[in-house]
Amino acid sequence: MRIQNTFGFSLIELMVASAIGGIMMAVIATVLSIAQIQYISTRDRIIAETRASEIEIALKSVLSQAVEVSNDTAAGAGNLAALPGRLAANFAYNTIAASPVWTTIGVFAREVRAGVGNADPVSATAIMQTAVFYRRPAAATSGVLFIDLGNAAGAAMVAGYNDLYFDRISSISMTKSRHPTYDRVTSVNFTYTIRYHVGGAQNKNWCPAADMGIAAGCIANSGWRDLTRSFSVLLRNNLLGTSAQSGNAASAVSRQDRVMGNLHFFQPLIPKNF
Amino acid sequence: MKTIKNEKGIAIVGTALMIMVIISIFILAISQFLSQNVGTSFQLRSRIAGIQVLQEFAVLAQRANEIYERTNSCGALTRLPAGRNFCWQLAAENNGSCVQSPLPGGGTTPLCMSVGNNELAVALQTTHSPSNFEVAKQQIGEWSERIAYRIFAELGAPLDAQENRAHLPTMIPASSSVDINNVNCGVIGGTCIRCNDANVECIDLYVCTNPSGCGAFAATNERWFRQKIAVIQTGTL
Repeated sequence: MRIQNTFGFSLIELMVASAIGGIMMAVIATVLSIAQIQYISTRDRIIAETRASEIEIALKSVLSQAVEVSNDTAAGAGNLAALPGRLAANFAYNTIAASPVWTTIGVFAREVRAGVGNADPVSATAIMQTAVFYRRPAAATSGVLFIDLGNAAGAAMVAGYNDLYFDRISSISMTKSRHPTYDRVTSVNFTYTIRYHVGGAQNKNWCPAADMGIAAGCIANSGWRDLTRSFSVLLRNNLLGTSAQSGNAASAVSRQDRVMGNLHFFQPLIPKNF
Repeated sequence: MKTIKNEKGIAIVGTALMIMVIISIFILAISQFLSQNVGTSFQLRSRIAGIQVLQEFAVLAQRANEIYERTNSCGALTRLPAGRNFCWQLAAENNGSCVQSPLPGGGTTPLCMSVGNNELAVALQTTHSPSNFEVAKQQIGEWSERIAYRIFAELGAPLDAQENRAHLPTMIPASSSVDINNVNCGVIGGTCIRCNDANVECIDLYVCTNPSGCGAFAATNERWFRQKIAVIQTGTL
């Protein structure tokens, strides 16, 4: 019996419709993919910008409160046994290295009293140990800066994720300025690069730029960009030297000069948000 | 061959609409993320600027104290708080408790001070918008320098002294030649400066870096950026 229904679609019609539908879906998928890649790239860039500022804030906050920092180059690891504190020798970690992966940038004491109201406490928590560590990047893991803010009990100063930490670093360098007379640090310059990825890179690469295409795992064109930031910190509270009270060397009274002369800065109270 | 007569299909229009919806969703998502992070970024920048501005003010206070130290008087300037060793040039605003702003055009509000508990509180509030934040910061620094210049000029201080102290961190700081208590504190020692020690003057500094304002400044108002500094007396210069 012949089929009388003439309202159906022929095979050709269905094939054409399917082809058009497929093309449309492909176009939509492409647009979706491009939009997603752009979104991820832009978000990564914004996070990198934020991270760069956070690092600057954190290092300025702790180093500007450092009270006694020698220009000696041996930063040493672990606890600060006695004052003065120390910063590492000038460095530029801009390549992957098997050793040292971990480095101590500095161990020092810092003023933490805010001096609010009339209270001017002299206690075990007035001067706190502080340590700054850096874990250099590998191909698959970014460089991380750790800031251990210490505690009054004098617990071990070690890097850990319970500290302040900042990732996405691909390279970092530090140079110190020494006081012309005293063997003390007056300021520190930092330059660092924060990595972000573009183009929807599946395998994020954290190798420093100098290692790209050279070191193992450092693929040259892996869709990365580096954001460079530099700043200087004045160690404004750093005690340059003391001299005994005239005529009484045994007195607990002394004359003191700091990097900014006769100024001493208590801990600033920074608004957490507006 | 039979032609397709259905003209109610949504193939092209529907696809275009779907693409527009997808793009709109992503634009919306990125704009929200961007908006949040612009706010965060501004706060971070304002904190950096706050630290710098208060450091500039600390130098200003250092100079105000140094003026007193030179002659044990304030000359034509005003000693504020009464009995404390800081000399300021005051403006007429707020009952004469503001340091005069030398910037033309009133780009910044006067630097107003109030006397707290045995300390001096100084407040500055910038009215600049976030987009002009760097400009505001620069103006505050310039303002600080001009105030210092005017103070020195009033007392006839040598110009080379001003030049030496003009910019951080290259300035040559005042050197203390007096004795202060050397109280050790902290688990690893370290010297504790105390505001109630002899030969130590303290000053509270406040700055508001929020363009929409911070309200009246007070120790309990956490919207203000606060920094307390100790000025160790320099002795006779």
